[in-house]
Amino acid sequence: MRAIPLLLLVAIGLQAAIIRGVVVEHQTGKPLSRTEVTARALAGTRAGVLRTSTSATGGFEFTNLPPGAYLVTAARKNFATIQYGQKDFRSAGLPIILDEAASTFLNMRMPKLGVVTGRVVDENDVGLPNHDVVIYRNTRPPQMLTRVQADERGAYRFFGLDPGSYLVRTVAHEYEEGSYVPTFGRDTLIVEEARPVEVYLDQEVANVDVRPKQGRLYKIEGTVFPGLMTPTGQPVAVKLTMAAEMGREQTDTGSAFRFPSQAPGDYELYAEGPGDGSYSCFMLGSYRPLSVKDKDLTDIEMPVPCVRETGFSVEGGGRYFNPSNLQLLARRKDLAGVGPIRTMRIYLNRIQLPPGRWELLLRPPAGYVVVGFSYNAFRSDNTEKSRPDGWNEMVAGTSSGGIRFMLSNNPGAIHGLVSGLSHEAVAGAPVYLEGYDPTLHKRVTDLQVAYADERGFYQFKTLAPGSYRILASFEYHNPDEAIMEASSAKLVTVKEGGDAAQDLDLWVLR
Amino acid sequence: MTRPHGRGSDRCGACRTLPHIGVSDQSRDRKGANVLLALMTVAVAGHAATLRGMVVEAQTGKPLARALIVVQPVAGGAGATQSIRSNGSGVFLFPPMPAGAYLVSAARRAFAPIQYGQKGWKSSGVPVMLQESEETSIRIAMPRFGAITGRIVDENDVGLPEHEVIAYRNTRPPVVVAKAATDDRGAYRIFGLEPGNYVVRSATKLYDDGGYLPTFYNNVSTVDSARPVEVLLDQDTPDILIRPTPGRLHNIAGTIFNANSRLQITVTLISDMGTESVTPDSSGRYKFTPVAPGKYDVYAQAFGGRGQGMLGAFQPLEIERDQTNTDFMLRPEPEVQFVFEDPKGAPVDSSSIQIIALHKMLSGDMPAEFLRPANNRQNFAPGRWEFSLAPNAGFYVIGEHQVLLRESNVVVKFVLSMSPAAVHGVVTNDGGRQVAGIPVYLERGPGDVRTTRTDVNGEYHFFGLAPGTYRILSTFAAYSTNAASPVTLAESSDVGQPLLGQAIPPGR
Repeated sequence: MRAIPLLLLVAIGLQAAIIRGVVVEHQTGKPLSRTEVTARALAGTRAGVLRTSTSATGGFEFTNLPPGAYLVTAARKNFATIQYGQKDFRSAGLPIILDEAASTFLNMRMPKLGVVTGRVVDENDVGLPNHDVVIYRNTRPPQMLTRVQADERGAYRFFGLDPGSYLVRTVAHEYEEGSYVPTFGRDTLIVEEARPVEVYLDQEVANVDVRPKQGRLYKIEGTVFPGLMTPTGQPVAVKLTMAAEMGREQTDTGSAFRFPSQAPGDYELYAEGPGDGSYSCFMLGSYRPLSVKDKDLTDIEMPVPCVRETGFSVEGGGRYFNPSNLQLLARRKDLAGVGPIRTMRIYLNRIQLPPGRWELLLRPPAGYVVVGFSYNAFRSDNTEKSRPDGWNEMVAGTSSGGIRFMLSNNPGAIHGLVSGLSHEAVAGAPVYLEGYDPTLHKRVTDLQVAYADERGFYQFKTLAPGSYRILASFEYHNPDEAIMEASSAKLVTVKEGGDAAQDLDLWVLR
Repeated sequence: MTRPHGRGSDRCGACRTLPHIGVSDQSRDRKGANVLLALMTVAVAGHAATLRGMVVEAQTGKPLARALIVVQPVAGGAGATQSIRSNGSGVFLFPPMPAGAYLVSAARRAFAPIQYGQKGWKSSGVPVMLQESEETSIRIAMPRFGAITGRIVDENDVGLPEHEVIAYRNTRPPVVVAKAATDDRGAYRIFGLEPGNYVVRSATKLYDDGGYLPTFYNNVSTVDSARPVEVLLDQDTPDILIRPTPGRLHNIAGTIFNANSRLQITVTLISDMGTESVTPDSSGRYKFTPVAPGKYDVYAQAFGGRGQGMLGAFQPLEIERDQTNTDFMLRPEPEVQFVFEDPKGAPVDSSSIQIIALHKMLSGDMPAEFLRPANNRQNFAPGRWEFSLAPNAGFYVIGEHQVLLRESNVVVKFVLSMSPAAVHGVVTNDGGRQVAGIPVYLERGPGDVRTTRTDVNGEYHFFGLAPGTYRILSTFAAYSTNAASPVTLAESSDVGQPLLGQAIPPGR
């Protein structure tokens, strides 16, 4: 009787591999509880993506794993996401190869994301209370990341920053006794003269003080005229947003509005409100760019009429596509950057897209790729050319327009072998692929990643036709355009229905 | 520029517990010697006095630009109240004004407002005597409010980010004063605090697999075992570390039964940790973020249109387990009728009476509303209310008026005695001279202190008082019951009570 369960245990033990480990804070060695740990099986391993959360003592465990190759990742808020075996923050992790019944113990040390602190001070070095401060990525144009409010001593703190170069800037602020214009650290109005702040993991860059310059601010006030009344005869309230390169301000109003006073510059106003379905009025919306020069804007008139629905069609090989098999993602683009991604509801062949600048991305049904995009309306400005399989930029108006996507069921592919210095196959090597516009020198799709199997073979399927750059390397886990450039990523052209062969040499930093 | 008094030297023992506020040497630049200049001043100002000065940060001595300075003549004095802002170097100069005694106060965002000559947080400012044809120069050092700093950490001493922390005044029940949220290190800083005793508590926090219960410093669950934290002006009280207790949280949910889909309903959960408001779904269901065990109040409110007016509902809850059927019917807000009678039951003319209504909530009192309701009737949201009357020379109120309003209408009766007592007198100093602009305190019982200031002739007057024994004191320092002397007031009496003013020697 006793022998049977014992035998069973041995049998299970023989097959299953185990990954155990502990996650600690890199600087202090303290255990990190409630950290998400993921084990991702690489191609050829009979398992998917496994997730767990660390215990109070930072421990985690994946049991009953089929033998094979796994990439283990740990993620926690305000810490850099790490992959096991990473050389440094930017590099990719090494896969763990487990034989049958093998067990391994991982010690994962998580570095904290970077921090920038400083003070907003007046001419006498006295802190200016409750002043808003913005941090930008030091790119051209600078890309806004977050906005925080300084405390009563003027002290501020940005945290959770990836390593890199940043710019700090105070926001326009009006006190009873005077007003301050947006000012970069250290104490300049011009981005070219701003002093960059270099941020590293596990480090705090302190004393990034800014002394905002005093100057005139201008009022931005006016009235919205919603094209719809409530049953009680009041104008319907709309959500009105003012966007600038220092972020967004929002207010709900059905009539008068007033934003905090602003420095001269470019702004955008856009409004969204609910429709009631009568006379095909499903939503209210409007959009207008605004330029503040040298006077108060106190009588902005902003009609917010009913917005016609936008036609939406998807074609390809004469086939009809059921909208429920498609996913249309949209994000608003304004002076503050791109907004959150929303999934658009598709009503048969129409969508409700409020006026303004938008980026659209279509996720096609399985086996299809996006090969074309067009938008036409009474007054349509198709802006910068983008690639149909990436984010498509457009400016939506209030009149009814039409959006058309073209699909192809004849996608392209790329495949090849990844080899190392002595031409050996590199199992588990990460391969990165970006859509690339060789004339604009620009990334045009989101980055994709695949991992080489035990024989060093990799493959990307269902690719839209066009140009791509491709790189195999353990040095990075999320390479940006500049890294792809610097690592001499290979340029590959994919044709409709073609399968491009591209062997890759593993890129190693020396 | 000199550094403010007391800082950096140990001369002033009291500065340790009560930071030295305000300050310093009041110098009069006697210009009598310079005949020419004096003549010019006379020519321009016509015997008027001038006041100039400088505002600095108490901690550092740095000049404070754009601070607001207000001068107010002591009651009965000539001049008018004026205000001005300091310039970029912290300097201010008032236009000429009539000679006399003035109270000078200064305010700047993020600083504790102070009066010139104020020695401690609870003491009073000393009037500045402006002499004819002279320029008086003063220096005002502004202290910052206090702050409490610390960390919220988990079982491994790793900081918990985005955890809310609350500072309460250390009273029973504790009163919410300020809140803050922790940063990436679990570090928090609650600022803008008046000096005094506080208790600090980490708020309830929900995690995927459980939650943290509200926990007082130093890691206890009840306010009575909490360790008080003392806050001083110009100082951060550091290292207030809390390790919240993990525990189970409970759901509060329910249905608003008569939820008409066109009503905009708000359901609000209130506790001594704050409020959360939600909107019910189309079937009237609502649900709050899970909470720790304890006392809660649920309020529901909606505007029912012109016909029904405001609709409301109120339910106190004692949460020990999930409570997912806290259901409501919205009803028109109850009406309160105010009745005013004399002790014999005869009605009193209420035309000059102002009612003060205080909505008392677990999260603290709402701002007082001053009412003169038509026909002495008004609708109030259901909940706990306290009603009182603004002080009036013609009467005093007998009794207290706390009401729990539910659905039904209520009558609140104020019994007014039309024969109140009063007390008045002159405040003099050691030398027998009258003291203008000195505060006078009159204490009825613990926490019930009225205050006034003497006029230019040193006279004060309190009226509309209930008969009884009071304690009275005139001082520029903070009020202290022990230093005050008893005075007994009979019905309808107006007692004359001369007082000796306890002045503080300037600059010490």
